[in-house]
Amino acid sequence: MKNILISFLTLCSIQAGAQKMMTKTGTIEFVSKTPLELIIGTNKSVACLYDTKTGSLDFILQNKSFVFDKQLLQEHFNENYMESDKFPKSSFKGTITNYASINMTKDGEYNAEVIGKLTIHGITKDIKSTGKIVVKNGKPTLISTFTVLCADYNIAIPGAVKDKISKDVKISVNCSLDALK
Amino acid sequence: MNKKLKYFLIACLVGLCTVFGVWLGLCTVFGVWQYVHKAPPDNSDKKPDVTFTFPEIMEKVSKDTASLSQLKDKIVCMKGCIKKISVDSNSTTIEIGDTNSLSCVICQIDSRHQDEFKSCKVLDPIAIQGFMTGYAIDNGLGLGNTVEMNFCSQFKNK
Repeated sequence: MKNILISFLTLCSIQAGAQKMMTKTGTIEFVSKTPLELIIGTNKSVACLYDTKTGSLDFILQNKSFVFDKQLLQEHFNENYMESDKFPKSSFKGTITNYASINMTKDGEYNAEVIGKLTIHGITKDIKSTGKIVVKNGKPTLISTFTVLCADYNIAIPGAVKDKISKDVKISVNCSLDALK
Repeated sequence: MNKKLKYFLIACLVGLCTVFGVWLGLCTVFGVWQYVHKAPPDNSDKKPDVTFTFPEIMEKVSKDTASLSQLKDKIVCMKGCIKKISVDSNSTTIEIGDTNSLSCVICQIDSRHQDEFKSCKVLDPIAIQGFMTGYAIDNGLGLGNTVEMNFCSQFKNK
């Protein structure tokens, strides 16, 4: 019994004291909504690394891993808009500025302020956003939603479909992290 | 030919042309609708272009990225052990790999084939086929090598 308790406490302290937390199966969803069409693309193989001691936060994903419910959307997304063969990855490199106020050892919901550089379609822009970190059983989940303008990332929307594709795209992030062993 | 018969034949011809035109129009609209709304292809019945075990694909990521790049968008069958299963309300993602290493193959399961993976557990041996979407050497984040696949289903031995 004593051994089990010691093992449990050791495990908890490793988890709680873990400096780097990661996942390779995070979710990023983007939504383009117009009165004529709702387009949703989901990528569930997003790599994320969060350093709890410095607040450093990185995301990286393969554009071709986005999944759509229609083949034509999948093709247009990769060939016409993201040019995935030319720009295979999108990434974010930044910091949670208020990381010191987030207690990873205590379950709860914490607000997070994030700044950093978002790279899409080969263009890098500074962005600032807010989100939440939900800590449950010592495991944090990063949740955020923000909007990007297609024009900012040099993604041209042809005139023929301009009523079907929104000029701004809502991006939702949901990554449940594990301690990096 | 009397006049009445002539008018009758012209009316019939115009009617037939109209019906044919409407039918052609409907077929075109239906064809376009089908093309626009077609679901992504289901790979489960297709023969994989190439099959790898987990150590084989990781060796390719480390040593031969040129040939690996040519496998993008091809149907690849990956054999190995389940490292992690992530399930949410409408999707399943399976990581194939070795528990001692951060490197893995990430398989986003095709929503039409999620039921095939319900009984899978971590460390179970598995063979999954799907479109290879890309690979990353160490991700630039120190997270090991990664190969990604989507529209995955269980490999059915053919």
